[in-house]
Amino acid sequence: MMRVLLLFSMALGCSFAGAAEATDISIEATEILKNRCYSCHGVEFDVPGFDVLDHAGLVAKKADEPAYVTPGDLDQSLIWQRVAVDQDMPPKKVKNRLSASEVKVLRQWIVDGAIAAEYRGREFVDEDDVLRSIRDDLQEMQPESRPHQRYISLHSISNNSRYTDSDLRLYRAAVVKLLNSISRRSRIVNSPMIDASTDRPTEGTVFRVDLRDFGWTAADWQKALLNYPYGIEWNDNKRQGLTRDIEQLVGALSFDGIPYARADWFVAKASRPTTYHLLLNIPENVEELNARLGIDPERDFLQDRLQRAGFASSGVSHQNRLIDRHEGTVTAYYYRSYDFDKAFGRGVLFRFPLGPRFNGNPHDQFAFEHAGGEIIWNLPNGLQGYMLIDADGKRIDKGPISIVRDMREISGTPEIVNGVSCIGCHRHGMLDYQDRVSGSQTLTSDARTKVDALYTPPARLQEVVNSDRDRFLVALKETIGPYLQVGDATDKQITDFPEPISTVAVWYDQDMVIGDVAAELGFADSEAVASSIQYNQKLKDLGLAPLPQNSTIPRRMWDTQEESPSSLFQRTAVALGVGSGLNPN
Amino acid sequence: MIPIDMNRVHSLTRFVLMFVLLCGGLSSHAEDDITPSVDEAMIKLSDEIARYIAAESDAKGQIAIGSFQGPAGSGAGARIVHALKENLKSKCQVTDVGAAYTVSGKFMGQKIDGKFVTVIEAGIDDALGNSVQKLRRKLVTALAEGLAFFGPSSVDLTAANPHAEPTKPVNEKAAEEHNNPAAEQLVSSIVKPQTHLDVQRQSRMKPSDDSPFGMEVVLKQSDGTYQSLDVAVEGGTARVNIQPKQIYAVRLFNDSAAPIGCRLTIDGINIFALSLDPNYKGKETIMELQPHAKFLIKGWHHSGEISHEFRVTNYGDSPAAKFGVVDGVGILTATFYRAIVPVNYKISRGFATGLGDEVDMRYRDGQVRFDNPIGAVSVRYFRPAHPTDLPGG
Repeated sequence: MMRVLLLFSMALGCSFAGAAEATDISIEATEILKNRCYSCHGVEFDVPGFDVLDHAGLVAKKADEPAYVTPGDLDQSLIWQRVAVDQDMPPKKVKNRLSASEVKVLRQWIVDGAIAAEYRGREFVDEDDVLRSIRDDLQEMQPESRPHQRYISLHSISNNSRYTDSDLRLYRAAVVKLLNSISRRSRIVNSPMIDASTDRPTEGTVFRVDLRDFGWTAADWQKALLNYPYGIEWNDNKRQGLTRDIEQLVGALSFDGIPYARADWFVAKASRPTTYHLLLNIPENVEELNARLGIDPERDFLQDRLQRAGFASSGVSHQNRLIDRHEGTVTAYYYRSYDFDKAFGRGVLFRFPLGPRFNGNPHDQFAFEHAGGEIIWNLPNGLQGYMLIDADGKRIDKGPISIVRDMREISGTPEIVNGVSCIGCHRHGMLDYQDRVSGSQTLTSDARTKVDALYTPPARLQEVVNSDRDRFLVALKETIGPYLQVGDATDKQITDFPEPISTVAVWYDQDMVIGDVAAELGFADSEAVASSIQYNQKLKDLGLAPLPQNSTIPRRMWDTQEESPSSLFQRTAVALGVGSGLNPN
Repeated sequence: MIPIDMNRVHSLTRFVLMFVLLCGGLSSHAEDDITPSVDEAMIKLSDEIARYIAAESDAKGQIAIGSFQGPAGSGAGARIVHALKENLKSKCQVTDVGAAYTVSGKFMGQKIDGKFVTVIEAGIDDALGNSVQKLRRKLVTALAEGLAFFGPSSVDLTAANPHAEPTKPVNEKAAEEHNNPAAEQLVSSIVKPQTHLDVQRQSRMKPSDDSPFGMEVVLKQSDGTYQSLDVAVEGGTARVNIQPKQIYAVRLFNDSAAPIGCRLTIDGINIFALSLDPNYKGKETIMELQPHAKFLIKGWHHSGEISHEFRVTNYGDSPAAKFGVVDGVGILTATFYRAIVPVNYKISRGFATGLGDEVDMRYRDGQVRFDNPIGAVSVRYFRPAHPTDLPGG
């Protein structure tokens, strides 16, 4: 008997240590969805807003058709109907189809109630561990370096059973890609993970960010932390002591009031204006950007030193679009789109291909009038910077929905938000495009000659776009490769991974379940938090009542500081007695 | 009765409009500024506190303001309390008793890379004293503004910066401040207070041993005359012995050949803070001290010719209580400023006389404007028991 028990416990031990992700039908089903469906319904969002890994979205009831998944009911599960009954999903052209055993797993999962997958194989990272890691890291470095150090932690993600190990890797990649995408320096920096083991240095939870590596000042970081909704002063004496140690090591006047910023919030916040503009130091108008990058668009136009292409519609616009590619004295490449809000008069590229209008344009009678545009340029470190502008060249935060829209809703809405939307779309660098304008219009001979000089033949254009994309991909691999191409993904191509920043930004905006709330407040046991909410009227009054009933609350309710400087997260921490809110600087 | 010292009429200049403008110009050159001025930071902090109170239904729109603790040589605690009170009174009800929430906190400051960094941490506590929310503000300002806010103790800056040209363009001055020994000395005075007594008269406190200006505390006698008080020095900090209910005055003197400015604060509050004159009230008013003269300041400015005597009272009856100041109570500070003298400057003469509780003190608008502080003298006149009956006390 003893021998039987021993064998049984050994087997259990193996399952937890090695293969926790493969023992649960929910996990198996989720892995199937991720491998077979996620690239179109999660990375690309072929159906706007539909993410197969968003469990709440999967099981949400719909007004006019069955839910994607109705727990326990195959007939009322759209995914089952499309995959197993109609068999038109994945589409016939896709080679990566579900095997019979995978269909069986999917069936069993739905019949059993379509429970959300939970990944419990990771060790819980306590707040104390994070603070201790930061303190020890500071202690080990030269005192004069300490005031320049900041920390970003994703331990609340690591502690959240919603996320798989590969999700966690994507989070790490998102942090590092974003840091480098808003860096002002010329080299890629793989920020060290201070709590990672030496044999797996990129698989920790806490990043050290040396402000000097990215060309930022303490004031820049201070501004980036404005409206940080997750600051807490812990009630626990040990945590208070560790925080004081960190404050002392950094220096009281360099310390931001919080030892670290949360990775998920940072990625969601710093990939959008105003933080994106601030940290990358994007000026307020295109003239200043051009001056910094050594770009002179008018001179390039007059001297035929640009590659131009126009077309009638693109992935983001149903209006005409024109793209000029320049080379600068500072930047290797610079693309500027001219977007239009009208399909008549000087908004028709085919009749007016020789804009924009400017003093000294000898072809003014054929010059278009645009409504705005997007600028993409090669950063000194090889990644890309983005800027949206209006017709006057002034920087804007979002593209007007009447001109451009993002059907994949990377920003959470169809609006194209500078930074995150552009990064999500240009995940492998420049997209392919071809000129459709140059041969289409009736022009004078001078104008015809100019069109021929500016508008670039498809083969040549493809060549330069490929070259620019290769440059970007080299930098991308250097940036996120060490964090993604590990473990079972070592041999995967860098282009086979989802775009990390936009993916994490979408995940951050997901509706929250009790497990999310518990993990973010530092609780290992979400059931205990659910009970606390159930029996605490104050917590219910705060708006948390749906959580113990397996329902959700919106993220924007959890992190907003619109009504009060104290976020719901902070007020919940106070009500649960874990700490008080602390808004940094 | 005419006082022992012959007094001259104190010319008064509105709080150093020049100084404010200068600071604004300097701070705008500090590219790392997150908040362009101390005033703006205090307004933002007040707004955040008001938003918190408005969102909490049990607050009933009320808040109490406790003390802000910091270095002993600084008057910033009183200024923070004063600023919060002024900014919050239009947004919520500031009350001493019965509020469900109290805001109090701490502050610290340091010169870093030619700028002055001030950190203010305001904590909101509930009625049971539990901390519910903290709000930090880190200000990176020009040295002059930061130090003016932080408040000096006794220090002489003229020797450290003898060739400073008050009329230099702002840009040049900003560049100079990166290595300004005067600023270093001012910072040092906050961290390590020092007292310099006149060799001839041990009752006179000066920014340095050879400084031509300074301050003396005098006690009103039963016959209406004023008797100089001896100064004791403890750990670099000056102290005079005045007991509750006694009336005292402050004698300022300027033995130099040029006019200087002087801001006099008692318990961290400018003596013009209670003025009925809207031009002076609530502002950092600076007095002009004319050359080779002494000035007896007998009380809080009330109106053009009347002041209220300085009388040591219960805390609850004091101007400090009116402004909600706890931290800076018991400290007298005279801060001296370099004067920018107009071409047609002339000395005027006059008298200041005491009449019972109300004292005649004649002031008029002056011709002189003022530049950066050049010295300061602080003295503790009475260390009151820390109030225990106030929220946050």
